[in-house]
Amino acid sequence: MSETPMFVFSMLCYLLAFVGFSANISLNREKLYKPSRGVAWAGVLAALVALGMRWYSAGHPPLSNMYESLVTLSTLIALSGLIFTARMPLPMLEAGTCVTSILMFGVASVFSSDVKPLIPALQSYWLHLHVSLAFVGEALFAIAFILSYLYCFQKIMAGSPDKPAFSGIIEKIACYLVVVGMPLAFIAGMSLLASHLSRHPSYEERWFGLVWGVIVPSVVTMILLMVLTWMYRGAVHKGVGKWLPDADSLDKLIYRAIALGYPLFTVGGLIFGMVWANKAWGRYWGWDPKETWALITFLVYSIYLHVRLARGWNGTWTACLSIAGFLVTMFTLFGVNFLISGLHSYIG
Amino acid sequence: MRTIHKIFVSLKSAVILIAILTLLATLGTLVPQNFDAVDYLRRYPSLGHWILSLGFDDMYRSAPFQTCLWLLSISTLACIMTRWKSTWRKLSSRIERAGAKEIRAYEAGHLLPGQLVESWSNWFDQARTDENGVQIALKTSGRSSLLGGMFIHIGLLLILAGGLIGVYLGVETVIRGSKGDLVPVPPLAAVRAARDADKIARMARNIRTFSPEDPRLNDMRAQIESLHEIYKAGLASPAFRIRFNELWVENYQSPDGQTAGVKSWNSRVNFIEGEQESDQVLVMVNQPVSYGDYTFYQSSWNKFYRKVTVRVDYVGDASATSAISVDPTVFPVTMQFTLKEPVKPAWAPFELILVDFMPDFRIINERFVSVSHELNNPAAMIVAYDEGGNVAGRAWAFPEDRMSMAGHVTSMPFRFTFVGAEAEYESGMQMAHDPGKPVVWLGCILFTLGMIMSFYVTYRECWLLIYPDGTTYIAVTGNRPARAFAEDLAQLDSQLTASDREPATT
Repeated sequence: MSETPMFVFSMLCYLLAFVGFSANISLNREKLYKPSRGVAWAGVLAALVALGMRWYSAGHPPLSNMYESLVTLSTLIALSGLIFTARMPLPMLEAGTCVTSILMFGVASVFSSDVKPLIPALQSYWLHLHVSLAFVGEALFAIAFILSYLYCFQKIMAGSPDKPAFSGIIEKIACYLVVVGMPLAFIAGMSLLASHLSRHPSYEERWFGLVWGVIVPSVVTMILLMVLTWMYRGAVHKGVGKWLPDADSLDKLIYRAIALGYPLFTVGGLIFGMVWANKAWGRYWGWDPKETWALITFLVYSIYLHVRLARGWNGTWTACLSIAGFLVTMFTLFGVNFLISGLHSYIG
Repeated sequence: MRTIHKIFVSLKSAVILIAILTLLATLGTLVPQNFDAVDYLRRYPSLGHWILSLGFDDMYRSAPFQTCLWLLSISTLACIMTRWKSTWRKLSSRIERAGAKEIRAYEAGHLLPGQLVESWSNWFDQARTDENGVQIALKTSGRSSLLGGMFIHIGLLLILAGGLIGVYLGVETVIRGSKGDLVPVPPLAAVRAARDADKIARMARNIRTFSPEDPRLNDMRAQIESLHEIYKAGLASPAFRIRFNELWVENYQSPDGQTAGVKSWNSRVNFIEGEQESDQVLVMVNQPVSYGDYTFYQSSWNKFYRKVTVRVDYVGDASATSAISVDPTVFPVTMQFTLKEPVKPAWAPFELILVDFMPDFRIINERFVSVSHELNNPAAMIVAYDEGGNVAGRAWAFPEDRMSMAGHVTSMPFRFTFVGAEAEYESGMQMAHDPGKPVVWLGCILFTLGMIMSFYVTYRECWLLIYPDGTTYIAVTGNRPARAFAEDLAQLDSQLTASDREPATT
């Protein structure tokens, strides 16, 4: 039995949960929160079952190519979002994780879902440890990213009663760049990917799926959300304080997500990767582009932790650093495979 | 000196260094690495000179990158030394250094509403009375968390140190062998000499591109020659030899019996040192084997064709015909070539050599290349030499259905048609020696432990202040936000508040 229907069911659940969370926020219907969470959990469980089925049929964990990596990461993001908010309801974050998971699955559907046997280098238990732990770390970075985005959104919407100083204006500009720029960057990135794939004979017509399944719906949703936010900006101004915790709490939540994800990513992505590389290739570090970008991801989050913990920085700039960190993480996952070739090229 | 110390201890410097390192590492992935100077100048006409002069063509060994790593190492060391003092103070004499005012300033704290239990001192580890008569009691937990940051930084320093040891003392090369081959493995010093010769040769090539008459080139040439001599001596008297006894590739089978990709490639080898011969050992991907100073990893395999069979027809219309006499009645002839080995057939006045064979040839960027190991589009190049050793002609051999191409690239009176080739396997083993690895692994362990201690272990300080007037104040602090200690504070409150049955202190 194919696992695809289970994945499709899971995506429908995420979509329904997203609608539920959005209605919970915008219509102020508290009653919708728990059912939406229940639907999201159903989606996560369905995705986990589908991943298990794929693991069983392939004989190896679903971590060996781009399709498997993306569906696993998509599931982990949804799961992390639900666990993260278990003790502190945050429907906007939960809605964000649902959208991220759907988009990631949409991108995954562009790649071949055929089960392929593992190449010799991947036949190691280190595949389970290295990739899965790195993905859990990346899923938590995704949570930090969504929270950082919400932080910037709140900063714009909440406004300040005092006359803003120069630094306040700069911060506001940075927030606008994040809130408007991120969806645009996503669409631009996906368009680049579609254009890249359209030139690749092995992807044939698949890139159409990316255009009609991801890019067009994203553009429509983005325009709709922006128009609605603009039209009902008064209500959004008032509501944002109710929908989101205060800036300080959001900042602490971002830190918590990164503090959980950073050690997992470092141990899984870098240290276990080094041990495995040493076993397979005879050297623990070779400045392969994937290795180097994983190191860059580690360095960006190290800067975040240093400036936040030791220098006491917090707020907009650390939120921007967290966003930069996630962009680097995504480049490590996608960009390196498509734009730079290296020893990890088989992942594409 | 103090200013320098201040710079290295400063977190700002560390963050700047990490940011520069991030930037350089990013550039290293965007600029192609280890190409020849001419390639950079051709690809990047305006930036090529900058890339070469800054050493960004070999970014991770370049002076800016290495300097950054050294500075980061010094900064980390300075950080360890500075942190050690404050950590030690916290670990050894926390209560002596804490005052009532500081404790009252902690966010998670309040006055004890009820009576303090009499047995409160059992609950705390340490207590003292300050100069104002305030009793201060402290209980700590998760003290290992305080060492987390130290472990992380020491771990990082060890990883950097191990990496540097590897750069200077480590060697890494690939040895290849086919079934039955006995491959000499030179001693470490010889392999290091070869590595250094390669480095100097690359530098020399780059210098020659800009100034062919540079006086440094002579010195470099001499250095390379002397290093090559060391390597040759190492090959002549190797540390040991490896005999490739068996090489095989396992393929996945699809349900219809077709091969569906490579499952594993494997080598069975012996190590021969003087008269002694080791037992046969199996080297597989992800299962390395160590012998002597080296560790061997099954890193690649190659399918190649040493023996190629061709059919020869006499055409007699090429330029080389004019000077020779050939008996056309003996043709067609079938003959087998061994790659690079000269053959002198009775029917030809020249010596023929199969100089190259490409199983799946393509013309990419005006160059002939083979794109796979399979016999999809074979092409063999045969060169004829006259008695004086001069090239008398060249010819390409293609399969029968593609022979129309051969006429354009043949200058011999013969037409060679590809008939078949025997596949042989070659095992590629990465051979490495890196004395820095144990240091790196130790660093990784410390780094991991440090992160677990820092991020997942909560350090708590539970404080109790008893003022001379009987007022009591409790507070909880640690390495988490104050809100995280709300429960601990409530628990402390309930444990220290006397119930009705228990007599209260005065």
